[in-house]
Amino acid sequence: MSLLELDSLVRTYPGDPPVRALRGINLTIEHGDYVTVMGPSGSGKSTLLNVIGLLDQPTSGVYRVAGTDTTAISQARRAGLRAAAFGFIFQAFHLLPFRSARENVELAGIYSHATARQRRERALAALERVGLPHKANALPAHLSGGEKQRVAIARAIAGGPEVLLCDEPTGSLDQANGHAIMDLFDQLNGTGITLVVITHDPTVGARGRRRFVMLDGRLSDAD
Amino acid sequence: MPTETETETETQIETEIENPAQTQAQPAPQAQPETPAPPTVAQPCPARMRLAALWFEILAGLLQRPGRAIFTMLGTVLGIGSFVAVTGISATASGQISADFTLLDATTVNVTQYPPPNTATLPFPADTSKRLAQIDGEVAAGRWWSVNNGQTVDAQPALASGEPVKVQAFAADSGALKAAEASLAGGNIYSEFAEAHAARVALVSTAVATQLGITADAVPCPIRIQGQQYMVTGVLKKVPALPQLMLGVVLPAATAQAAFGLPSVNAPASVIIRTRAGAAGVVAQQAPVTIRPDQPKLLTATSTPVPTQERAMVLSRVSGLVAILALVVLIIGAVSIANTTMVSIMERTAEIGLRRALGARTRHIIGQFLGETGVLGAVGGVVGTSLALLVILGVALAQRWTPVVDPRIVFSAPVIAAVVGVLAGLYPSIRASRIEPIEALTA
Ligand SMILES: Nc1ncnc2c1ncn2[C@@H]1O[C@H](COP(=O)(O)OP(=O)(O)OP(=O)(O)O)[C@@H](O)[C@H]1O
Ligand SMILES: [Mg+2]
Repeated sequence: MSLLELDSLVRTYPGDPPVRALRGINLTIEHGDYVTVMGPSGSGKSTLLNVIGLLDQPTSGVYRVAGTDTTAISQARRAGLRAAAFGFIFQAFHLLPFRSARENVELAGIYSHATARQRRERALAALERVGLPHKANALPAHLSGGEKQRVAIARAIAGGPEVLLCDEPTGSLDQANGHAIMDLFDQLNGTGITLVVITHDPTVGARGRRRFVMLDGRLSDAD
Repeated sequence: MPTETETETETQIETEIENPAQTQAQPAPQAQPETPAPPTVAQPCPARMRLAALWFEILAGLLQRPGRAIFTMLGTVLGIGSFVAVTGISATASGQISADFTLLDATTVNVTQYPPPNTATLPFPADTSKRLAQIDGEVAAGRWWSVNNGQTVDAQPALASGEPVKVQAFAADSGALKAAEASLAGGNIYSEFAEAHAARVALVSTAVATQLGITADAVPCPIRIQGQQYMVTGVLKKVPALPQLMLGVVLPAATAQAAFGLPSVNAPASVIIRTRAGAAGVVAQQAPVTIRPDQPKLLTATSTPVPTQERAMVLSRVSGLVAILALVVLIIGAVSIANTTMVSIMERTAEIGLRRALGARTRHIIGQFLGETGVLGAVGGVVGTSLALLVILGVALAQRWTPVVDPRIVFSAPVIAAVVGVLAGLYPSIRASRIEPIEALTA
């Protein structure tokens, strides 16, 4: 059984006229895959990622996570699955400004009933993995862009997710920092984490083992 | 659609886990064995949050903007504080008033000529005490006045020669002394026989007795008043309802009239009536016609005006106003909590989106923001109540009153404030939970 299965997935934003952001996506992602999706602005990349991450629901089609039809389960259970299966990495980092790096990373697992001690241990381990153990007590304002994104990655991996969903992870970073983040992704993928990365940047897109192009709500192989 | 109401209950969720398609799924490699039932990819269970974690998030959310939290609380502090202060001060004051206000005040009736006479006159007949005894509810009654135009008279021991003592002299029926609840240190109140015959008898107060060298066990003994000899039949210890009698000597009305003439314009006569509890009003109504059936309009009877009672009424009216004001302030406080929470939710849209991405359910978002407003309200209530207690204590100390505070109010005030906070947070929290995660995260 595949980890993620998207079958004729459609997402139409209601409106006048309705925006057909996803027009029938068929995609299967296996454990340990490294998937990149490129495409012009407005082609529906973020919409796809949100549907995969259960932040959004398809208008029609079937989406299975480890065999579970996500459209058939309750919202509460979808939230639980989201917490267990997915880690999100955003272009804008979304770190809480008044919390230290460690406290930001500790937010992972807060909605999956982990104890404070478990969350702290995992947070320190995750900061170690992204190479920032010395910045555990720093506030986000005192971190560089690359460091912020590493903290965000630490938060995404601290809960032990199956899949990392990354929306323009290097979009706010310079080239050197961007490359460092991509190297970190390679490392994480090497430990078995599945990666789905959305990007404008061809060099980032080229890192993936399975490369796709999004055009007008339709997905096609890049090669 | 993205937003769904959470209708599924926890029990339904447990049964769904039995779904065979899910149990066959591969176990998640990163599953943490130490968590009781961690949601896994293979067996998705609803997102759950520990209470300790919720509290931590609530407090962290408040403490990240302490200044704003304090200002948000201010309305609750003032509203709850003024409510507790007002109820406490009025309870303290009315406790004091009921201590001042005795049964004596409530059972006294005074009868005077009204309008006041413009010549020396005694509008009350000699049998006034007997007449009033007919009224149901009367306990004792009699006439009294200050003799010698209110001026002092000379008193001295009958036998010793020496400087005379200047004292006040009063006329009083024995009934008036009983009505005034007079008590004696020694001897007796003069007899009705002595009164009827204008006998030269007198009572002296303990103070005057000391000045004249009379001891309480030495009565009856003679003294001289304005040169005339009188027999002291008793020494007055206390006259609660007519304390002025303690200033000097008291003579029977007929005796005083014979020696000093009619009551003067400056010191007119009046009748004091002691009634049974609750009968003062009725007795006052009947007294003028009973004393002077020929000319009842000449007299006015007043049951002792109890100024303390009026004070209590005024106070309760004022505190009612302040209580309404406190309520208004409390409502303003609630609105200010709601308003600040709306602002803070707009500022924290990305945070809300992030929390949803981390697995938060709508109820977790609602719980967090309701918790913040509830804590704001509760802390505001505790601070307001504490300040109010200080104010009550200050007022009581300044007035030398005993502070009286209803513990039910003290303990319920912070709870009320917390409830107000939660109610104020209801709308903003629900709004926060409705924010779409995808929109919150792209913002
Ligand atoms: N919440 C929404 N409501 C209505 N329309 C939306 C919404 N979100 C996105 N869209 C529309 O759906 C289409 C796809 O948007 P999406 O954000 O997925 O594009 P994208 O490929 O991520 O673009 P970009 O590279 O600029 O981030 C766009 O036309 C966009 O305007
Ligand atoms: Mg996008």
